[in-house]
Amino acid sequence: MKCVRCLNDTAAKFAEAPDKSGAWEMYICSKCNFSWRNTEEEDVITPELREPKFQLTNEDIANLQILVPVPPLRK
Amino acid sequence: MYRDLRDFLAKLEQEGQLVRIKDEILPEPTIREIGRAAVDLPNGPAVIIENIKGHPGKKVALNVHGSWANIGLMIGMDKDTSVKDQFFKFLELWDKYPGEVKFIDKDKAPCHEVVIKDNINLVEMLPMFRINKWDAGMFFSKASVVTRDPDDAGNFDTQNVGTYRMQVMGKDLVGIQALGFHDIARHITHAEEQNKPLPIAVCLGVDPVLTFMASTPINYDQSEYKFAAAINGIPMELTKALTCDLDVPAHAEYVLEGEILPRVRVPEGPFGEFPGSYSGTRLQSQFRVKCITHRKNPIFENLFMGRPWTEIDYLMGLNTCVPLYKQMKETMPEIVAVNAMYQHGLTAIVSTGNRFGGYAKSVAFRMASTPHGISYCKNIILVGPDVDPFNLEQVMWSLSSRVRPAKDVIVVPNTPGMPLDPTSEPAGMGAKFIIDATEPTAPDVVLRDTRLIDNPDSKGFERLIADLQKAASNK
Ligand SMILES: [Zn+2]
Repeated sequence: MKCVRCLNDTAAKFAEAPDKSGAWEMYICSKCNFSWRNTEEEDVITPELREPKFQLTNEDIANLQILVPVPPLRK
Repeated sequence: MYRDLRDFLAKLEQEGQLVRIKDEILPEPTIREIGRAAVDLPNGPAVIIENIKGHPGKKVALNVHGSWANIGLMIGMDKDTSVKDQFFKFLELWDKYPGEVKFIDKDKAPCHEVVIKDNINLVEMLPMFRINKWDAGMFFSKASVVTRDPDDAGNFDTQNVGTYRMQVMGKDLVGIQALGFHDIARHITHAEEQNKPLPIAVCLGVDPVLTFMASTPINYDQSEYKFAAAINGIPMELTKALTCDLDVPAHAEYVLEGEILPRVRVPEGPFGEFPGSYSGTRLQSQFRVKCITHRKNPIFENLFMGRPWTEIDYLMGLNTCVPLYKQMKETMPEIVAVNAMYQHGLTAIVSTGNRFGGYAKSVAFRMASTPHGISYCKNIILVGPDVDPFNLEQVMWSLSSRVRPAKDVIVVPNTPGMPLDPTSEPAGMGAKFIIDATEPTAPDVVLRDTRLIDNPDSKGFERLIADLQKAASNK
């Protein structure tokens, strides 16, 4: 299914209310790691309503800053 | 004082500093609304949320450290103790380092009452919630995270307990923010140089002093466990983790055991951070949870962090002040007190004597060269020994009456900065802004001859009038 943040077709359900009441489900995107619950505010879980500042394009994802670089392997 | 979170919650409840919300709620947006409300109240109480939709029987604890009343109770003082008195009490407790550590058998430790190794699903097992609206997911914001240096594996003292934000990224996958100056980053680097996974234990709901110490910038080779024991005044009870050689608090509500995946970086964030703004999305480390253990009827403690002040400001207030004070005082005995409570020390106020003209400015440079001050302490204000740095009215008086702008204000550009500070550009660069509001001393030109008004000896009447006022309001 479509990720509400990066809009790729890389999201899937990964959890549901543990009491099996169907109270909520949760989804996660394997590309940008965004996760959400289906009961959250409309403007958090609907791509067109989300603040554009918090969306990610594939170009953004390809150019993310790395804070602690992977060190060289010891010889 | 408090062996575990439950002992402390019982004390808070007895003192009227804990309330329970029993109505059924959805995690979003309600939990963040409750967190914000609790911390905004004067002497805000801890809150236990008992009825979360889809998670019957599970509890969330918020705002456990979220007022000076609660911090005072944590260190055995009255709930109306002033911040300055709490600071001096901490100094006293600090010197009791190292405290005693005791080990409890793995199979007798309460944190191992329930063990889950199969079909792990973090957000089904824990009542997690999106802390701020634009966070990238559900975060752990108040965990005590334990790791060892793989190059120094047998050393208890370099075993690190720190608080790092962690984002759930799957049933058993979690992203963790390790910044370059964090102790855990050193452990990750050593493991990654050998392409080895790094064992990690995430302890949730521990005694309030350990939580406090886990976010305290102490020296790399000092043990957070021994510090917590010293400040708590009772031995720290630990036990061995079940899947690796890490020591974890025996009375933790939950322990998540896992491994940081070597040489992996994944998109993490944004997350609403302590300066009151969202951090960006960056590539960070990730770990896989292999085992969850918890007490019976566990309490999930997490922290709401919003625009300051919120709980994190109380939690990191005095524990930022004390190590800075201790480190500076070693070489500069004129220092009287340090208030670095503002956004983990991004703004700090030091009360100091002037040994000779210009000396206070050297005190600022000393602060800017302490391990914590290098990247954090950006705005440094110096006040005289007669000013209480925790009393902002006094600090403002001293700015008003003692600062000569042309001589006493300095900007040092392009120094290290704190990447989460929104003014740090590029992230990690910064500047130092120093205001010397101490009274100039020779050979500096002294201020025009002024005679300060002496304060009358009012302490006795302060107590008396406070008691009378209390009695009057009870009528
Ligand atoms: Zn995505």
